[in-house]
Amino acid sequence: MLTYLTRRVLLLIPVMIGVSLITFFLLYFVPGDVATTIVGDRASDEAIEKVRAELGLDDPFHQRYISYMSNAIRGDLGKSYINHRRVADEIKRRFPVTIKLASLSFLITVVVGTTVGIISAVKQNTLLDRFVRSITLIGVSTPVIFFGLLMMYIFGVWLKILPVSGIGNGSFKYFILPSTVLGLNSAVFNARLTRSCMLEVIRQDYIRTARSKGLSERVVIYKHALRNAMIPIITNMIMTIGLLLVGSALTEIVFSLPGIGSYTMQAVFARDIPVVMGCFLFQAFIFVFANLFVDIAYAIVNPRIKFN
Amino acid sequence: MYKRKKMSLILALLMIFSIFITACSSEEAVTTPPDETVGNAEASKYGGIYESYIEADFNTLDPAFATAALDGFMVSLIYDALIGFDAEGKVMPALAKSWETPDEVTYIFDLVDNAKFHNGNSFTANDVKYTFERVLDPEVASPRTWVFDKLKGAEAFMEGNAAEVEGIEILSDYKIKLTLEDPFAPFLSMLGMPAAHIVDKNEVEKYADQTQFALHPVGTGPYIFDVYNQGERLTLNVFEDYFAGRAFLDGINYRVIPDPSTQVAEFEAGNLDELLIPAADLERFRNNPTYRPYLRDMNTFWNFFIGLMADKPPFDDVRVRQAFNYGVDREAIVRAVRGDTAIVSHGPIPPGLDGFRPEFKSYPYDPEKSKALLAELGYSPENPLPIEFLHIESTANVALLEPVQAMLNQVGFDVNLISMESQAARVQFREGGSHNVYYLSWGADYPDAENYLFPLFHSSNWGGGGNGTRYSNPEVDALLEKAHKTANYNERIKLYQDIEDIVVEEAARMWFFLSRNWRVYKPEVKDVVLYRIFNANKMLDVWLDR
Repeated sequence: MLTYLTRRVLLLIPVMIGVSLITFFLLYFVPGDVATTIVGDRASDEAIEKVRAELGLDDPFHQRYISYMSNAIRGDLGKSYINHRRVADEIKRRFPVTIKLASLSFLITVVVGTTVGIISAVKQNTLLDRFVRSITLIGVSTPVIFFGLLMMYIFGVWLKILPVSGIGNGSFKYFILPSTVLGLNSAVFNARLTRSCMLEVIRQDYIRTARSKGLSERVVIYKHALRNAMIPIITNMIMTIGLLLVGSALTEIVFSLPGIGSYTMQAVFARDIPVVMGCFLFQAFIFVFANLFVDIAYAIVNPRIKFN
Repeated sequence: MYKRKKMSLILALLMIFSIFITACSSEEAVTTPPDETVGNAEASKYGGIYESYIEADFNTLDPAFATAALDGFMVSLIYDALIGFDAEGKVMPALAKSWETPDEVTYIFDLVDNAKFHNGNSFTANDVKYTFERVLDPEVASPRTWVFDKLKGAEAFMEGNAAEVEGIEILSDYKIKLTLEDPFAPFLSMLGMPAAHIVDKNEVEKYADQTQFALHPVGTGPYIFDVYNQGERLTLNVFEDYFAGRAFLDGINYRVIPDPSTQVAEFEAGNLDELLIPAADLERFRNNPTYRPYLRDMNTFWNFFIGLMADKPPFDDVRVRQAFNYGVDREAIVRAVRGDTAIVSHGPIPPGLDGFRPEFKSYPYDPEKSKALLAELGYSPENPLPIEFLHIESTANVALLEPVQAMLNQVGFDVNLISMESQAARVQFREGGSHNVYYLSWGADYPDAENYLFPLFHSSNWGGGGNGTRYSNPEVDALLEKAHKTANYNERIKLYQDIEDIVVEEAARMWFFLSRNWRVYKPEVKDVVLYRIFNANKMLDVWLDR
């Protein structure tokens, strides 16, 4: 187990190098540069040249990459080209917001998604199943922006029981609406996956055996069926938490949440290279760790899987 | 399977239907509302936090680097300049209580003697000198050197051949003399630009790295910088010792709310004191009796235009440019797409600036004339002239430009609309890509007709300087330079009108419309004054009745 973990952690190094190279490469070739944002519209070409030279934007690719990475390895993610705030500080400030949003959304995804999926599978082709499936269909096809706005008006503007947007003092109630919107969005997929996995397992011989030896339906479903259907569901869940933790730009923007997602998106549009790089490296790191947890979780849920 | 398909179709139709219901507005007539945002001046109350929002984070609060409109607005709340602007954009005293111009190149300012920085330091003429030299200092690398480079000795200072700018002379603690190299009439109004807002040397030099000053701004302005959390909020507190008397508000809370629909929802939930109404929501607000009395509107100085690249075929031919102008029914498009959120623009000088002529009209919609001009060059709807039309990606732009495309295609153009992400498009505008037409707007940095002509049409401003269409006409260049040196105000304005005649005759651009902003306020918000210049409002008039 320990050697496995060490190997997986060491694997982070090539992954991070890969991510940084690809991101840097894309930023290098994408048209538009941060200098135009800094000097504004009515600036001379000389002013732009000066900014570009100062930021080293004219240096060759390898030089820029090496200079960035040598700082990054020492833990210095640099400062934003635009407002000169330290990228690491900003990530530190925003990550708790993203964590709160992600964990609450994840809870909703798991509880709602799995429950709905199981009910739908057990009561296959009943009215309840059809109803649940049409609801999930709407869920899959409704854009976050629309659903978010709907929730905002219902709970924030008309009923006035929840804040409309923002993080206020950072308390729990500010995260209910955005988490619901984000959580239900992934819950829908989770429900559909749970349903199909359960259906597959329920048809297996060992379930028939379990039923025929007189076990209660509850034991059959939860102990025998669900546990065996769990592998793809857990994979999906933990990949979901990875996705949630790297930030959900759209939800963050709609609900004015200062999380990692909106930060990344802003920086990409402004071509603020240190911020984009810092965010992407951080996100890659989080994602790789989420992946590692998937593998460990597999083994716990299903003892047939060994670490190797 | 068939059943399921039918079901989802019904659901989809239901959703579309529900959107339609919310989008349709009642046909109730709109009457001019009584203006409830004007309070009784004698009852003005001190106190209260004004709840507002900004759509995006600003880039900097260091005046020397503030180039975006939002940055400029924030700078004017925290700092002051020698002059300010009234609601209409006329120059008025600020840190300079009065000034005289003994000749065309000399300005002598009498400064107020009771202004303090937020740190308690007194404001004197030394701060003015320091601020202006800082902008010019090559070490600082401000993008706004052009605001001061007409001062005598500025070039020498910028090249490092002089320790001081010769044209900045401190006469006493509260008297300063500025001398220009050549007469430059718009200079006075340029002193109200964000870059000319006065900073305290002690504060700037407190930091080894000057970029840190932008995160800890200190000025003499009516509001003190308190907290800024990027992506979340900016808090300003009132400055009790403001030289012109403290503001009514105790402070302003700007939340960062990027999505316009969220801004509307926050206002409707009662969490904001003001809202810039998005075009799509205007009818709904106007027809709602709760909000109607608290609506205010104002024409802005943002002049939207379609740029015709004059340096390369086919738009190097004036006939093609004129055909373009004749071929678009601007009145109809503006009315249909923008409704009451815009007025048609006929030329570079916008209404509200001296030099604007209400009777001045540019090209009427005349598709036959347009066709005739194109026919001279051998083009017709059967054999159309292909053009590449670049614009910044946004649904609003597409809604506006697709009708333009359709009209132009009818007269003999073959318009290819190219939508590009903002940063990428800006590089194209600056460097001149493969496009020959583009859509953009121009807003005043300072309220003077010069600002709508010199940057846009003088050949020295090719590319990024403002002349994105690469227009070049020696006659216009000469007139623009002459106007700079004309001290007589009326004569100078007359020159600008002559220039306007030429550039419109030559169809250098297609002037499209000026945006008109609609705002709505909470009933408690009193004495709102709408300012036409982006950095003129120092939030000194407004007060809260709660």
